[in-house]
Amino acid sequence: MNDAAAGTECIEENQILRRTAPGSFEENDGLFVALTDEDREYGRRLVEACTESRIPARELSPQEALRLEPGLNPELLWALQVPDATFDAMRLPLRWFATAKRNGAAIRPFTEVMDVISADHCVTGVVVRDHTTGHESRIGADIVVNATGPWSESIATMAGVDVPIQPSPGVLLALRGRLCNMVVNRCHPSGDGDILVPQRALTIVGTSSWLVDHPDDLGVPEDHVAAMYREGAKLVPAVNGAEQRAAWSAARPLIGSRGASSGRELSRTFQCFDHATSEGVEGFVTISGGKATTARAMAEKTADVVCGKLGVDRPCRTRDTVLLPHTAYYVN
Amino acid sequence: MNQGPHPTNAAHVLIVGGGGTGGALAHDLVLRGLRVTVVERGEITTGCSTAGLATR
Repeated sequence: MNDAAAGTECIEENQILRRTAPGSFEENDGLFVALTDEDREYGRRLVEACTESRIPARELSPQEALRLEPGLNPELLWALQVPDATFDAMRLPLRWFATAKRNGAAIRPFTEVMDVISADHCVTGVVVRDHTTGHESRIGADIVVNATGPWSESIATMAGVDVPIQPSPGVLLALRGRLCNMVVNRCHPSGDGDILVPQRALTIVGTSSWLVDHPDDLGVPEDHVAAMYREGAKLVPAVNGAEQRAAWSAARPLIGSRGASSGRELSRTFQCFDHATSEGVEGFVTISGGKATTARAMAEKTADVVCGKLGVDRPCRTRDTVLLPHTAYYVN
Repeated sequence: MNQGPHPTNAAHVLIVGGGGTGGALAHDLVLRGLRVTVVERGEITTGCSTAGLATR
């Protein structure tokens, strides 16, 4: 909230995604809802931050907010309407894959990297196991990019380098029924169960945050699920009686100290590591951190680094290239 | 949109990880004329991107 440049960048990136992935977004807008005096005070700073970042925001009385979103807690004190949209977390990435595949990229699912091949401080490829056949083989490459998110450290270790990734899982809850049509946020610093996102006929409540050493087998702590219900119901009371469709944990790939306590204090920013610069290992680049809405920008930055290393001087075209529909991924 | 097959002497970039970042990067790099392979240990976009559902 204190970083106007980040806010402006976020809005620009959203506009690029809307332009290049038409049909993938529900333009439902968002509400920040104040339930206490502390929330209201936070809201004043949020309004200033929006102004500074040139984000068009509209202050609403409780009556105006309830007209837009009748399921809100009627005890709300104030709300702020901001431009927001929702998208399907699987279908947007599928559109990138579909378009890349159409343009010649080879996409190999169920293919696990077992080792990174290197010699004289230079990575030259990987050893993979094809889980559909059980066969292992080697794939050579001029550059290997580690884009494994919370698993980045494991792959980096195979290459003999280090990345300061702290996997930070959070629990998400999917409830039957569309309990709101806008993205409803609690107007306070990021906390448990303080965002409700409508998605098709479900409502997603998120999220908690803790830290783990390994991003596999996270489990779904019952007390975190209870917190989603408890805190979510403060924003939209119908959360309390809603049937649970699913609960799951997903690990964010946060960049930062492994000594952090909860993950909340770590930034959602992203970073591209050229391990030739940092550790003298050529041919190996890691991209990590960030979030779904910054994936395209992360890719642009990483592609700039990769092309720079290869001596390729071609500009990024993903700001304007319209993507194929997600269904095209499955067309051979 | 299809750029056709890339020249076999184009540099080859191997991307490990089939999530949103790997997908966006593959899209970017092929548009810049590079040969690209993405490897993912499971189905694409099912790791961190959407996570495993514990449905009830």
